[in-house]
Amino acid sequence: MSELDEFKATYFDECSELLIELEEQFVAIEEGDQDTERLNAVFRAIHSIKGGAGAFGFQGLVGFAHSFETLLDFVRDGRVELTEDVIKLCIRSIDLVADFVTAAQENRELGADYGADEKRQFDELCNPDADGEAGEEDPEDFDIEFTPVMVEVDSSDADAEQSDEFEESPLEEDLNAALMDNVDDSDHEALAEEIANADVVFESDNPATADHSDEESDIDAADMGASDCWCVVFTPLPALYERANDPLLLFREMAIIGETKMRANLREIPPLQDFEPFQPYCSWTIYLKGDDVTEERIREVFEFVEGDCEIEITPPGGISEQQAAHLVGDISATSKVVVKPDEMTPATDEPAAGESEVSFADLAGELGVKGLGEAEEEQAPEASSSDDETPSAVADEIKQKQGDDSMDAEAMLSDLLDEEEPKAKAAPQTDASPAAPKAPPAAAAANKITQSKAPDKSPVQSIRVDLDKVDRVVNMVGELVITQSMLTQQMDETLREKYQELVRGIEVLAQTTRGLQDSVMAIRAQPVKSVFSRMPRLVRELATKTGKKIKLEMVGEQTEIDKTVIEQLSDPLTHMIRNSADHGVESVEKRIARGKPEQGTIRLSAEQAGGNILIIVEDDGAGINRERVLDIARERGVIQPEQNPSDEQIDNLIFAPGFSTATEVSDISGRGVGMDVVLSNIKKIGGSVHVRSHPGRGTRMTLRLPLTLAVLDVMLVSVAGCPYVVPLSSIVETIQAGKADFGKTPSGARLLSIRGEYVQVADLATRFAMHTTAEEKDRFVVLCEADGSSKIALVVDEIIGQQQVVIKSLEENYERIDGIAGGTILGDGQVALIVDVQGLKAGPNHRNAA
Amino acid sequence: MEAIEVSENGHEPGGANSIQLIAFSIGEQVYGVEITTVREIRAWNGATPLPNTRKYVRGVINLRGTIVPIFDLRARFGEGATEATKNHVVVVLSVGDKWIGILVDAVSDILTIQKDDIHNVPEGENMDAELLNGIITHDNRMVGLIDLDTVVGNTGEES
Repeated sequence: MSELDEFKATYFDECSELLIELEEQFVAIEEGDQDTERLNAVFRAIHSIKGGAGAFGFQGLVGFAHSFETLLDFVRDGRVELTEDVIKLCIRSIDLVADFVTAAQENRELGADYGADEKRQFDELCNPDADGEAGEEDPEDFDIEFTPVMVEVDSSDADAEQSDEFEESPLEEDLNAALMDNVDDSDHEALAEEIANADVVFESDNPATADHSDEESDIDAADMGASDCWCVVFTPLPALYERANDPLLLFREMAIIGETKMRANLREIPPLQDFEPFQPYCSWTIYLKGDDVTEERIREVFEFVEGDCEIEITPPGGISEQQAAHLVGDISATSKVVVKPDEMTPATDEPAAGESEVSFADLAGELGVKGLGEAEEEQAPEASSSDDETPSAVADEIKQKQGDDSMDAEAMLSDLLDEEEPKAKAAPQTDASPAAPKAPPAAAAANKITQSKAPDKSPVQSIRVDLDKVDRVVNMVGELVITQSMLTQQMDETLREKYQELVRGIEVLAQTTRGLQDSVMAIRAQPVKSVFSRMPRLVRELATKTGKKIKLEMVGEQTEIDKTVIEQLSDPLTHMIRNSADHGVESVEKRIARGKPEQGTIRLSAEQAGGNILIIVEDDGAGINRERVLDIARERGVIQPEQNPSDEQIDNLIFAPGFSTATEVSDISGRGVGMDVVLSNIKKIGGSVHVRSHPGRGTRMTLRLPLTLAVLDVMLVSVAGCPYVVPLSSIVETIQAGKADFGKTPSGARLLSIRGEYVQVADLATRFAMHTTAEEKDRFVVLCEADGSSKIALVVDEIIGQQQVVIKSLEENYERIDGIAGGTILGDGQVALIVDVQGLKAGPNHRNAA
Repeated sequence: MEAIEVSENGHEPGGANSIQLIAFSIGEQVYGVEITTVREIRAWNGATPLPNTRKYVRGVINLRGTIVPIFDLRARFGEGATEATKNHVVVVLSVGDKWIGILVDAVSDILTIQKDDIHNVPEGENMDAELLNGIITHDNRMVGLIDLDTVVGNTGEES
């Protein structure tokens, strides 16, 4: 069932997107933007999650999402006030939904009572007066509501599934029985009778007490005062069920608007041998009465199934007394809504006659009825508007015209339906065609909407592509870039003069390649939002656990960064935020004592700075306790006792493995694994971490990340005859320095004076333990910027030039090497090593620590 | 550069109980690795030296876009670095999920041996027991079976 797995994968993808959206919407709502559109969006998101979950049979998720949805629905139409508590409940519930989704994804069961507390709160909010009755009814509902509808299984399973479904639903059971009884019954009158008897009437005043028993009560439509009834004909298309929508829910929504009478039209159900299990054969006519019923409200009910069903709405005024009486007659005598041949125009009989098959005759008959019904509905407003003429005359005329129109259309539909096998996809297409000819008069004259024809929403702007495919392109573009720069290198002066056209071609190629590369990188780039969006929940949980008040501010979520980088970002960010919340932000009492606002703030921001992305986690907490850090570092031998590190160096000690200032290991942090994970993860993707702390005022941690991991602009240098490359993004300038420019400190470290500024020197030859021949001569110096403003001067033998390289991992086949960030392959096939500027800057101390 | 591709699934004439080895020499001594681990055999063409790493790692080479480290087997055995020439050979092997190359003097033969014929390495020098999986006799000469995991692993001499 790999196909089903694929669907599942897509569903989970969508879920994570929807969850992110939910999170965002609620953040906005929390901030006071309680726009109805937001609530609608939230509702839609939960509904979609629930729908998919229903289709895949994730019962826990369905149950929870359903309760949640109910609450949201109540909130949406104002029956439940959106207080702060409710918002909090909702936000917590999103976390729970996320948990359910994860559990479903991992094929894991959460405890049966997981989220039960929230669920109970939902119910309490929705039914403040309700007693146990409502509660008892709920689980019962699920059985019926969420029988998986779109089941992609082999036939035996499908059958089992099918029969289950029938057994569970009294409505369908009856229907089934009716069908069974009539398998060999050639008397269509009897068949019609049977089916008609199987019609189920729902009567409901409000959803809490919605009674969907199959009592075959006589419909007393007369007391509905048929003339002020809205009439809604609801015909589901296969897509409706495929998306796991349930008409019952819609009916309940309707019941909220006003008093409803409904009947199911089961006439289209073919004899069993023609029965397509996945085809919807049932439609419903709903008569709706209420003071504040408007067409808009009715349409709202069907908002979520827009396009998946056909809706015809006729306002109460639109039904003349006579017709109303007719309708009432229909309703009260359910079994008699059979077309009398003399009421049919010849046009309808013809297609029926053309076909000898029993089912088609039935179908055509049914369509005839439908067509007639439509005609009546459509004519109505015109009849009422044209006061001068006798209504009946107009009615007849319109009946004639409209009737023919829709008959033809319907006949066409039936033709199509019969010719092709009624596949799920065929129906919406064919349905659109009859709608077309009817549309002009209908739109003008009658309050009729065919939802499937609603104006197209803007087309989907994105496609899902397997990341592997993108990566393949990225790699190939990377190789192309290298080949191109190799070609450029091969160009010497004589060649340039001799083959000018070729040179021009290569220049154009260079530009195009660059463009191609940027575009490909853009495909992989994603807003950091996808990582940031997980953080509010984390902060909420941390705040609850620690009893602190913490606010999370996020800035620059739209900053785009390579997907691989984003994937690597989640863990470090979690650790950093956790650290800030646990060690940084003080308890409420302490904060008040220090004259700070009760609520601590953690600020998470992302911005682009040149070829880098800066991600900054900042808190307004206590800052790093340097004395303690130093004591612990000495105690654990992270640094030697005689060393006197600078404040900055002390701050950075928190990244040492196993280092923890916490005296007790809490379940949040303190095991000492956190911050060195940050460092190693960030280093792995070629980034750097910098921490700056102001005691008493807070800590700021900066992650500097490369924009992309695939291609790097570098400067190619040579040290002791070996090629090295230095990332261009960290280079400030290159200079040639004489011996006099260098100085020595007591510890033996060398410094370089550049325009009056002294800079730490790293002689690559010494550092990499290689023998260099260029000892005494003027040396080339590549001045690099390490963290923030601190600089380091790399001494090299020769500067060869600039080029682009594709980063290759050394760890893939070997291991990490200090001072080397990775490898790359030059145009001639030789391997060059990428200098890890940050690592060199950190020095031996740090190397021990890291 | 010439590279001799070695079929991964070299047929095994002796049945399930026999294995095939690629035999190569370092100086006078012959060693072998199981043929199924061998990916490629190529002539030595230099490598980019790696700083700050184990001494017996000669550097890295570019193997069709992948960076592969080269272990100098002679140096690994503590006999000093190989003075590599074009006549020296790199045997590219897959060890676990990594590809590595070992620098040897020459590749001599493909041997088919019976598993039962493998002798244990006699107790004595720790290093021998670590670096060799066993010893077999072929043509009255001793062939050491290289334990690749140890050769590549971190347990050896650090720089």
